[in-house]
Amino acid sequence: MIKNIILLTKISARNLLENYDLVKKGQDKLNRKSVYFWLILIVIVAITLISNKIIDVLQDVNQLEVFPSILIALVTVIMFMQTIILSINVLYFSKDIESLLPLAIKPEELLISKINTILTILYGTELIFTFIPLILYGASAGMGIGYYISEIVVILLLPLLPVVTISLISLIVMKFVKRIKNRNAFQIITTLLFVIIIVVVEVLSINWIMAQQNDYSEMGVSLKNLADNINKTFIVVEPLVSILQQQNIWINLLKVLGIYAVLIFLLILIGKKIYLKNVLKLTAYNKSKVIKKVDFDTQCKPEPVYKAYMKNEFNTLFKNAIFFMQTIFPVCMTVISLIFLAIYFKIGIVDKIQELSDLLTGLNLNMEGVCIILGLAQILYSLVSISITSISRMGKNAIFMKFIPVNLYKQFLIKNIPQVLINIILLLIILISAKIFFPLISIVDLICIFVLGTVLSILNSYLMLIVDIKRPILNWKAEVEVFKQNGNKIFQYVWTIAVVVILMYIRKACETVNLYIGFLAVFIVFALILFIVDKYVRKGIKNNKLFKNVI
Amino acid sequence: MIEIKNVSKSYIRGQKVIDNINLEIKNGEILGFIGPNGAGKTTIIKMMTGILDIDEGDILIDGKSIKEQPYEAKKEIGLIPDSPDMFLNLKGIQYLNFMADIYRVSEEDRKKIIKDLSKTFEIEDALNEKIESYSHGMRQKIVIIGTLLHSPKNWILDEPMTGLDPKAIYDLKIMMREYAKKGNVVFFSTHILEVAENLCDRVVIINKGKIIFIGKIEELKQKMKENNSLEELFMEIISDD
Repeated sequence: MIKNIILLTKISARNLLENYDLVKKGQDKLNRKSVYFWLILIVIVAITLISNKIIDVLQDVNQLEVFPSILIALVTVIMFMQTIILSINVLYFSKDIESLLPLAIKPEELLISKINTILTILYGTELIFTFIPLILYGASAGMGIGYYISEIVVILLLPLLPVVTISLISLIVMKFVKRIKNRNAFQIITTLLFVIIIVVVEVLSINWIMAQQNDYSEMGVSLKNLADNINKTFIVVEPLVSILQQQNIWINLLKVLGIYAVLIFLLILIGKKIYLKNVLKLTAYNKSKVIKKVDFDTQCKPEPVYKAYMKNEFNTLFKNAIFFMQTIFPVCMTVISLIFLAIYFKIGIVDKIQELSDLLTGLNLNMEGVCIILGLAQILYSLVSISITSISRMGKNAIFMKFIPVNLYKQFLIKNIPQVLINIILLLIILISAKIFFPLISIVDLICIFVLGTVLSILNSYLMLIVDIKRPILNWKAEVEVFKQNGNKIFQYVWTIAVVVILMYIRKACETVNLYIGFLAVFIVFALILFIVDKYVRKGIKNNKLFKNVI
Repeated sequence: MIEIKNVSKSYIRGQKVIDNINLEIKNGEILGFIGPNGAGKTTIIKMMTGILDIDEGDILIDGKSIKEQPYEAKKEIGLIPDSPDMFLNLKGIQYLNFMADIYRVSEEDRKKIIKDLSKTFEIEDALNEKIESYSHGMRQKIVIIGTLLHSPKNWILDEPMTGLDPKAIYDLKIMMREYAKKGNVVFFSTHILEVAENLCDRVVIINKGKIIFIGKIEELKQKMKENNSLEELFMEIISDD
């Protein structure tokens, strides 16, 4: 049994690493050409710098011991979110399930190998977010060797909690799911429901802090209270933090192992009884069909070509679970987080500190502020992957664009619409937040920034679509390959850096001039680049060069 | 009518995958395009339909150049690509309606054609299902219906029989014959030599980017001076080349 589990886990983990292009195919060497390798490296460096700064601040206010509680609480929430997104997909809908079903594998072997797959992903997340920050904390707090051994133990044990609990819940929930007619919609709805529950819990916790806190100097204490509350909620996290803080190590370790033993026993027991049955039931239901006759009068209504084309674009984004999760879902999360952060900072911090509130209300908009808002907008635009995967998402169907009698330039324009619309939503949230925090910004100024942000959004979408047209990923077998193996994302980050540099230069050049001349300068620069890019697209389509790789 | 005039194509400079091909397919004709893997069949089809650009020469679809008047030329084409995995997230009826919108087919015409052809191919009960739940053969059938919605004058099919059951192959052959009888061009590539032998007015054999035979099966047999099947003649002719 153990041999089978190890083998299945190895296959899953290897597939996973190869999917992310982190190891060279057929070798055990790291692939330094992978975009993900560099992204992970950048994230690790950023987290190290931020952690260092937080540790310094906490040290100044004598609250250093708060750090592990907050970090572990944060990582636990992140890992729970990640497990929610992964669990049902990996356990029930992964592509390999149907190939594995005919093999002589016991239900518990299949279940454990699937759980190990989720665990492997979570260890990756955990290493990125906690490994170096906890070492930095240990060094700052002058911890001994015992602490570092505890760190490894905590890192090894922590991800088991989200994986085992969420998998257990998924197994039980799926037992009562009678029939899944639309598996894409099911995945999207369950994920959204889980996420809403987590967000509601977070909002309630923050409200609780707001109710308790009257003095800003107590913020550190309140954050610890919030972290402690989260840690208490997640049953084994509190003893794990205590292990990290070198308190009653052996008792806490036994507590954690005891809880895990019970949870894992329950998981295997329940899994043994219902997992395979559920998988078979779902597979059978997926194949079963209820005949629903076409109503030609209502279902065959003609629509104008471009409306039909655009509707199809949105259909692809919203009706495919993988595309939705990778393109629209992160935007929803970003919007929720931005609104949440804005409310939190406004009510929780700014309104409570008179000096800070007076300072912000007295601030006038200058060129520096405009460039910061636009820079922030560009950073958010770069998180959206709609245009950069617009052609790749079509896969082999992409040739469809070329053989239909519809102008390629107009198709190009329509393909930009979803990303531009999403960008505008993000831009509006930034502008509304700016108005709330800095009431002196006039509506006219906000409209000017909106126009600039919209031009920047179109430019961003144009460029990313061109990148995808030039370097499309068309020969994929599973939709997820469009995102996981897409090295084109690097262009989005490079472009963001270029925009930030351009904005910094314009800010410096327009430091002493009137704000509206500054607006005009930014508009001319962006519009000029957009004009050149548009010319390039038209020319490329005319001489059959632009879509050359879409075959 | 399709006219292929002195067409050449290279993917790598100096290595022609299509070498100076000339071909004329008349209205009312069924032309089978035969050749081993990598011979250049799909490349030619992709150039005829505007998916690939043409390095040298030109292709005229009912007198309209695919290079100079691509949109006008494409309106006269119905293409069945080699992979039928089109828009898997759409329901069959949504896909057909989308294709009808793209080719600006009237409500009456689309209703009639969808009803008739889905009945012929026995997929009317599956039209309200997502295409991803279809078998390979059903996907092929829905794509075939999609290409015929606008009644193109030139029907181009890349390996159309792949994955179809015997009845569907029979129905498709009948449909191709009837379509040609109405004065349209039917141009298809295939590996199934028996289909080409029974169905085509003329066959074109292509190998290594060059046409090595154009004509009727009888002419090929006369040329080879043997009373062999097309399969044997084909093997002989490509080995000679």
